[in-house]
Amino acid sequence: MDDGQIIIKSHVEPTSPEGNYILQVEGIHTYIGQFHILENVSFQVPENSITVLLGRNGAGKTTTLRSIMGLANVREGNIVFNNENIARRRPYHIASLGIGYVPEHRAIFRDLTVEENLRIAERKRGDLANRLGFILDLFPDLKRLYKLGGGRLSGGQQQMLAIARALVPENRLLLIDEPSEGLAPVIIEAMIHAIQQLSANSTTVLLVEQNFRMASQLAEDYVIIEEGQAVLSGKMADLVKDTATIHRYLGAA
Amino acid sequence: MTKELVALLVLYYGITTISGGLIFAWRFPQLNRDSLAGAFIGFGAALLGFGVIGLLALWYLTPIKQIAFAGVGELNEERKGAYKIANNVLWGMGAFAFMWILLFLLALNTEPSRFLIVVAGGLYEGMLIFLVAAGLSIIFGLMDVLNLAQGATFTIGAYITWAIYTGLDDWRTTTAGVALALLLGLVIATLSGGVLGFVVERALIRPTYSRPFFQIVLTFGLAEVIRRIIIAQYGTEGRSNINLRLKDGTDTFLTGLFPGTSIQNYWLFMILMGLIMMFGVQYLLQNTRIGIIIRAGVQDSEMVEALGINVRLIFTLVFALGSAVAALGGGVAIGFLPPTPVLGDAFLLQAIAVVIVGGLGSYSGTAIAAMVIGITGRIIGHFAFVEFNAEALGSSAVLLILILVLYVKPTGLFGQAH
Repeated sequence: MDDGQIIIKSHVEPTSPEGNYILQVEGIHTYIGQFHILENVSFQVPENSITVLLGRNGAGKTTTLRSIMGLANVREGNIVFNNENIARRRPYHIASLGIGYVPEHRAIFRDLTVEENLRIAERKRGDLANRLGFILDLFPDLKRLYKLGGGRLSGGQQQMLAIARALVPENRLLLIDEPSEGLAPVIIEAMIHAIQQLSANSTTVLLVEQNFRMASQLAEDYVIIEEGQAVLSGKMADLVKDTATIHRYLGAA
Repeated sequence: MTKELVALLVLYYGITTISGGLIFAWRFPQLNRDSLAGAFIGFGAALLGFGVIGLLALWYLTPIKQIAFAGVGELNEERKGAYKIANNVLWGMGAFAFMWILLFLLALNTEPSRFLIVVAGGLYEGMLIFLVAAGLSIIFGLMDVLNLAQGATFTIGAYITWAIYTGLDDWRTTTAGVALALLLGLVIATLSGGVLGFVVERALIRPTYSRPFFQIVLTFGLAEVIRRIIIAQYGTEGRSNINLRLKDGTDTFLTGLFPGTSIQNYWLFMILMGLIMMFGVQYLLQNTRIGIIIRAGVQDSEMVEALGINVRLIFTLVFALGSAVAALGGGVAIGFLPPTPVLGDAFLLQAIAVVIVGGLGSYSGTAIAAMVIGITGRIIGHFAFVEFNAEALGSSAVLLILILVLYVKPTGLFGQAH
């Protein structure tokens, strides 16, 4: 905060009042080994909406999600979730406060059945029973695959399962990393539909997405990460019109 | 029938026939001429029988149906996954086929009572190896820690059970007293193993998770320290066998079920104990929440933690559990193998071989490999004794199997490439 490197320019001041941010990332510095990956990243995620992290490959988007989740080494800065500083807490503690994580490459447990993949995410007995109806409404395919091994699902099915797994406990915030990666267009459409349903169901989503079309369809707010810094944030509706910015930070739209 | 199905069948029959044929050819000159025809018929029948059982098992246990009748709409990845599973089951059955053929040859060449002794000996040895290997395998799979103190824990279990049983010598007036003293020893040994595992994980393993080489040195060093403490307490000489007879000389534990042979009931007790542990741990892994967490953690412990589960606590639990089972193994062993300061070390070596042969991180692979290696080692030891008067060859056979498996399938019988 004191090195004068804060380059957050906002198109528009956030419209939501101060108290409605479910997550506030405040000047975090994250290292992977010796490498200084995130250099003073700050942004906010408003409650009950979808925010997307944009930026080129290697900009630090995944590391940002991992920092929030406690899976990366955050040396400085605060991450405030629901009025509690969760920076440098253990991942299981952070998750149990109500954050669901859908990592890049899905991390489905191959040797577990679809059912077990969901059951392991229970935080208290009966979570799965309570939420199964909702989950199967969202992803009807999982019903047919319920007893199948996780390793035998296709990429799209694994992505559905990864999101479904994050829905088993009552999470207030979902971190979803590149849900469209490697998926066919028709499955991406299904994924967009599912994430919209979630949002309508008053779950806050923080998304990392390279596919700008998908990002622009889903998100209300955006944050652009560039070389380990949050350089721009604002309303998606404004960004869509601003082709110069899109070209500058994201390459082609 | 699809190409994959044909390939599986060829592979299966290939392993059975070639390994059987080779051994048969080797034994051929020594076979009794009178029984030659009978031997051929018997051998053929056994091969065929095992082939049929194997095929049935393939059909019902593996997704081979899905491979054979995969429709056009079926997804490619599903087929590939099914193929991998079937392939693994096949390798396991190949190992069993090898063992069955050895068993059959043994049956041809020895009188029944000797045959039973060799088989029972192989079984109990396999069980003892398994009790060391189970913890080794699960701990390695989950935490990437090779716990070289596992053998020393086995030894500790043996000494504790021995000390308690001999200390309760007065109880040896009734059969129930003998059983109770032994059981008490086993329970305390198991608990002590668990406590030791708990302390070792917290004190030595936890601070060094990012430095696996340190862990190997530390656990190896710990094993040496334990050995020294035992030597300081009991000397380098082994203890004498525990006396399972009643004070008046009545023998309730040693003989009985197989009269006329020297098979001891105690062996059966050891085998039973091993089986209970084998299926108990299998049940724990398959059907309980902690089992699901362990299986998931073997693949990706970071994701398990990100789901809100305190993985380090699970690590400690599993480490304690693995040590407890090894200590139980040592306790069970003393009915037959008197405790010495290096008792567990031989089992540790074989257990490491078993874990690698079974496939790193695969529990059922470890269980199957322990049985196969226990029995195969005994049979080869028996043949080596008969032919060359060198029974020790049996234990080197274990290493031979290890090398062979690593050549043919580097990931172990049930292992998956990472």
